[in-house]
Amino acid sequence: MARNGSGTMSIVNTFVAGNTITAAGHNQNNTDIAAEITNSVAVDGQSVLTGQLKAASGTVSLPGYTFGADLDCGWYRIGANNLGLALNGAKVVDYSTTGVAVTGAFSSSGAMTVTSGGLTITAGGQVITAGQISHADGTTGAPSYSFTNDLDSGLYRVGANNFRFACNAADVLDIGTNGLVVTGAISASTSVTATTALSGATAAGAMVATQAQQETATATNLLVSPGRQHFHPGMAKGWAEIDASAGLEANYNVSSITDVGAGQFTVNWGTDFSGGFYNAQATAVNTPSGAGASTFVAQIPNTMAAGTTGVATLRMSDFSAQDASHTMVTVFGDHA
Amino acid sequence: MPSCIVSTRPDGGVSITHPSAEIMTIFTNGGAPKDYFLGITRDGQIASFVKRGIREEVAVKWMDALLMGGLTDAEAYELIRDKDTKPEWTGNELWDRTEISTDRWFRDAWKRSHNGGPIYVDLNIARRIQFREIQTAVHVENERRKKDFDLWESQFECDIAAVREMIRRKNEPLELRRVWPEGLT
Repeated sequence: MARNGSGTMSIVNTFVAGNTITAAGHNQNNTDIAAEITNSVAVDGQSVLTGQLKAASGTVSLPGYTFGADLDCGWYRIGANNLGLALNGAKVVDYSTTGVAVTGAFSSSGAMTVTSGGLTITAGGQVITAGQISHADGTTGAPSYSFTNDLDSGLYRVGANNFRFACNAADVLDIGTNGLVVTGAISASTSVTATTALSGATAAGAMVATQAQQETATATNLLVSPGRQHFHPGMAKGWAEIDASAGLEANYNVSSITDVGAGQFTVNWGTDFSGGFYNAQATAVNTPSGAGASTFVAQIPNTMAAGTTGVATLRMSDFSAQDASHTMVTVFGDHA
Repeated sequence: MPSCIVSTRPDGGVSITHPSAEIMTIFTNGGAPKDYFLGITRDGQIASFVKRGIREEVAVKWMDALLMGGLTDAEAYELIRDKDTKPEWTGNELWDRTEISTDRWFRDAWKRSHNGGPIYVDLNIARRIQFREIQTAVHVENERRKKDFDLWESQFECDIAAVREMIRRKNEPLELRRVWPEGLT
């Protein structure tokens, strides 16, 4: 009589006192016992199970499937469809219908593939790889490298050798083999060093010298723009070239020239100086012909005012005011 | 052709103010480019103009035109006249530059009515100019000869009294201009 399906085995032939024990009955019992011993698992590993191996559920400290030399290590049943792997009496892996949860570090010597559902790291720590982490290209609105709380900001690939940083679904930085292209302002709290030319449409901010800085003229680390270079005290604040007919040939910051007489002019400046004290220079170009005179000296008579400078060109032979072929006037100073 | 402002001074002398092409461009267009006009402040300039006798309304107008432009040619000339000519000058008129004589020999003798009108040569002053020019030319010539190896003993002789008399008798600028000692360059 084999086991009854629940594992219970019963004796085929029962012998009672006074009855003859027959060879057939005795052999039948032995055959039955031998068959069930054969049908049992040999502890030395000879047997191969043909049915399920059913263990007790066990606990995390005494797993159902364990080892003689390490009784707190093995598999145990946590609950319905929930299997645990215990090591040293503690759960290290929890298998359930929703996935696998590992307590402690997880390592893989081969490739690991996530086919759906994503990969989430819920607590701090580092993701360290000795190889590359590669992503899909992504887009401006959904960059491949992004942030849980800001999914439209991050890094994505535009095309071959070209990737961009997006912020709020808009490109802000383009990096390609030709360099960087930034959309919007760039600011730096420390120095920026370029080993080749630094170019841009305009320069702005504190790097551009202000009028006050130009006038102070001590900074050696600021850009001087064309519209402010003239604020430097060493720069001319006005100049004029006057021809022999008292005409104004070329000038800067001159409103007009007044011809007062032979060799006498008043230069009317476009803007006033801060007072009557400024530096005016005048030179006269000799007249190549004329009544016995060809050499001139230019003078600034004592008629300097905030907005006008008198000029006289004197003929050297008699020191009378006469027209030189050209008269040049230059002024330096501070404006009102 | 550019114009100029012709004015008569209290002594009858003539002042001619030539506006710069630059200021005309600024005034009749959109004003000066930003920061073009040096280290100025509008209020500082207006105060300075007023301090040196320019009417405040002119100063304000000038600064506005400098910064914003927008004037017609006539308005620009008027503004330059108001700023760059002196209050005591009279007969201010806008002339074409070609109307001004390029012969400035008697420039210091140019006179004009206080009511405006043409420029004429004051012969009394012109005679003195002509006399001075001859004297200067004689002086220069003799100075030149003194340093000349061949001419150092040969001074240019000029009868100054006769020259003076000739000058006195001339009543027309061109005739007066022709009075010049023979041989004197």
